[in-house]
Amino acid sequence: MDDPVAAAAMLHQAQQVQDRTFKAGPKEWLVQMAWAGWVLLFIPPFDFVGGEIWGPVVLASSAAGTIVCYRYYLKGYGRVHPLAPKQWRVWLVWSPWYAAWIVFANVFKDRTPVAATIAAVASAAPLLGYALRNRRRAARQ
Amino acid sequence: MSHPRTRLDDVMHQPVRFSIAAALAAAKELEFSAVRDIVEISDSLLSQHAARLEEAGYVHLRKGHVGKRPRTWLSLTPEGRAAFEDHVDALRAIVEAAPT
Repeated sequence: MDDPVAAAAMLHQAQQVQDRTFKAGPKEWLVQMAWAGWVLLFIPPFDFVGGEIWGPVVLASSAAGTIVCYRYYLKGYGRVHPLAPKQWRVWLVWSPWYAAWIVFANVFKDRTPVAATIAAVASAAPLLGYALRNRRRAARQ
Repeated sequence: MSHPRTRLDDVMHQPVRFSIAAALAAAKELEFSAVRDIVEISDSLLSQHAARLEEAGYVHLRKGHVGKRPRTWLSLTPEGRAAFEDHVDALRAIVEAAPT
């Protein structure tokens, strides 16, 4: 084959197929966004509801979220196993950050009435920002 | 220096097989139906070309089950990945060698 136009068309086709492959894989940004949403939804009520009441709700919802995530990845990876999924690294960075803000909320709960809300917003914001950036990147592919 | 067309791989050069290889090059492993949907071909055409790629040693087919349903997963072998990359390089060289 000597035709550069045909060669360029084949390269373009390969790029399109690879973009479709990336899109068909599990959407990491969706999981990140869901957990950021969970933090924003389930942590602030600690400012208004006692830990002995709200604690079990948070525990149950986080367990349910973990199971849903596990099933999502199991199904997604069973169909499209990405080449180098490195997104787990974000959890390594974010988890201590989240834990630090939860400690902050516990330490300052008697000094400020919105300690849990502050901790929720501060801990979820970077994860949400990262998820939105990933979503934009995925949409561009 | 030889023309880049001499580096084109005969097995890879078939457009459907090239697309299958492109999809597989972007993943560790793809389930049969995922390849079919991504490349937009029928089951029978995919089976036919996957068999040809397997015969050439470029694709590994793994059979298993999800629940009770049988499933097949496809992945590029190291030889297949190298052949795909060499083929892409040859195509790029053809494009770049074109008079402007």
